[in-house]
Amino acid sequence: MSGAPVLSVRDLRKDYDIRGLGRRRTLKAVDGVSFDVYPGETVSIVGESGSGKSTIARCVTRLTDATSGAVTLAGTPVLDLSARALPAIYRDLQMVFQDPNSSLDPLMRVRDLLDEPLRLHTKLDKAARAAKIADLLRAVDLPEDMGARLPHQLSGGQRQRIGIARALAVDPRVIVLDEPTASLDVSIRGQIIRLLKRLQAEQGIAYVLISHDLAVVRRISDRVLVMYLGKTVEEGSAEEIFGAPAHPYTRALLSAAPKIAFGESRTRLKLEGEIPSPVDLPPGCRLAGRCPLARPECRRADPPLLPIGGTHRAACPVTVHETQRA
Amino acid sequence: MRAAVATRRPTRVWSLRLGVLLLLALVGTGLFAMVWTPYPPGAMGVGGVYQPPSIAHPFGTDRLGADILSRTMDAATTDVGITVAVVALSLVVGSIWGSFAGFFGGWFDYVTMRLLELLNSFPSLLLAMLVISIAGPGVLKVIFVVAVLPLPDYVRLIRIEIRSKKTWQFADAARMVGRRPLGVLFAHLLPNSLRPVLSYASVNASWVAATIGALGFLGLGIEPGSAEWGSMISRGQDAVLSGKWWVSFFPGLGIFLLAAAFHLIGDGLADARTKGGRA
Repeated sequence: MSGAPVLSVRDLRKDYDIRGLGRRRTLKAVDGVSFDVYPGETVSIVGESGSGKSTIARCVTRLTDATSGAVTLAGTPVLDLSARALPAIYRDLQMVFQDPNSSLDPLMRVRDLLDEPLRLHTKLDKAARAAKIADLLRAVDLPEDMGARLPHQLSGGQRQRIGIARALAVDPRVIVLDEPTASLDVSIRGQIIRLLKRLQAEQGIAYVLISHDLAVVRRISDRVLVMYLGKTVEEGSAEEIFGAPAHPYTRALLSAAPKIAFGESRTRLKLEGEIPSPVDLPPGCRLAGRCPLARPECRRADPPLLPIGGTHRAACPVTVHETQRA
Repeated sequence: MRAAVATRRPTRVWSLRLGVLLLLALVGTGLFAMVWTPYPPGAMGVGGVYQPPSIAHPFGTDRLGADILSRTMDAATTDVGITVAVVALSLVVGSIWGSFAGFFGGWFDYVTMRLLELLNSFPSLLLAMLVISIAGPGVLKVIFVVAVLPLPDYVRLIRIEIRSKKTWQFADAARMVGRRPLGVLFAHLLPNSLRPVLSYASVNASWVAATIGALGFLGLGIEPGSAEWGSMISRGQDAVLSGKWWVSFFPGLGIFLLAAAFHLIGDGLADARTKGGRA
């Protein structure tokens, strides 16, 4: 992790206005999130559904317009680009979508799906593009004759490989992986993760992985952001987060995940109640209503991210002090 | 995954095939009539007056002794041609208009929908008669008027498909591969939204064929005197009452077959699950 970050996100916010009967209310889907991604590393954003992790992915890639904040991709201010200048950033920033069944145009053959980004983003001639398509198919371990197939003639895993190959086509610096394994069989998941790791090692691409699957996150991440209701509640290296989770929410999330490995002690931390409505949140820590460790002051002010050591930070004064003392 | 389900042979493929075959026969007749008909279609007195069908005149002759087979063939050029032109016009205009309304939404969509409601609130045949009786007959006028009437249906069908598909991930993916909004719309969303409108178009075509005939019958079609099935039926009206059925029957058969051909195609298309299974 040396040099300048390839992707840098600062104080990203996305509000949705909820119009209904009565007053207008605001849903803060993403409420001031910052992180850096360095070349060749994987930063994972984890959280339950509704935590805002997918909204971050959509705002960073400009598929949705953010309310405020800054996203810098290799020096380019992504959020300030005009609609006209926008397509150029997708040479450096690509995405692998959650559902390979709906992210591939059902009427296009595999080779046309892979040709499209090459045609629009590069100046390669037809022969060079055909050679590149063959390389891409090889890179994702698919035989070359797959090029003639239509998406519905492929299996789910093969489709996701095509989705990955399409993202790779323009040799991007950053790929956002939006739940890339969520719609795949468990047996296929491992293959896709191995493929993603291998491609990263070979080509030095940085990944932003959006996932709720902690097993996947643990296998692939260098650094992890834990999101709860639009805020980062904890961040740190994968070892720090998985080895010594500090925030009660992270602990609950980890203890809720099934574990097979021996020798790991697990003290189960259970949260009470349901995830609250993200509309018009009360002041104070967002977890306070569900947290077994909550104190009266937790309901007064929203705690900032507090340093624990190394890159590890958590937004919980109660546990951070206890961790530091230990 | 729908695609993985074994494709059961669609039961109504025969209706698609029969419809296409029938349409090809009619188009063929229309084209062939431009080159050759047994007698000159406009020529009077090539046979006796009101001859019943015979070897020399398989469809008989009319009040002026003209050969009905020749006239029916000649009329096929006009009727099939106009029907195809009308459907093509509403399909193209409706698809583009509906695409924009569904894709961009906002005020354009709003104005579109109110305009279509206005147009839909008139009974269509009545409106066509009104416009043509004011504007006067003519091939282009007929094409234009009959194409405008079903336009609301085309616009709506495309609009709703585009609206539902523009949030699909392949629309997002299209932006990531470098497409601008119009590229996303025309390269990806529109081709994937055409199936319902195409199957509607063939059903609509049978309505168009019948309407062109009806306008001709009422004397509101193309110029009076030119060979057109509707006006031929109208001219046989009196003859039918005195038992000379063949004068109106054969042009009527033409309208029926043309409408039936499109209807069968539409039925077949709506039912046929092509290999893709979706789109």
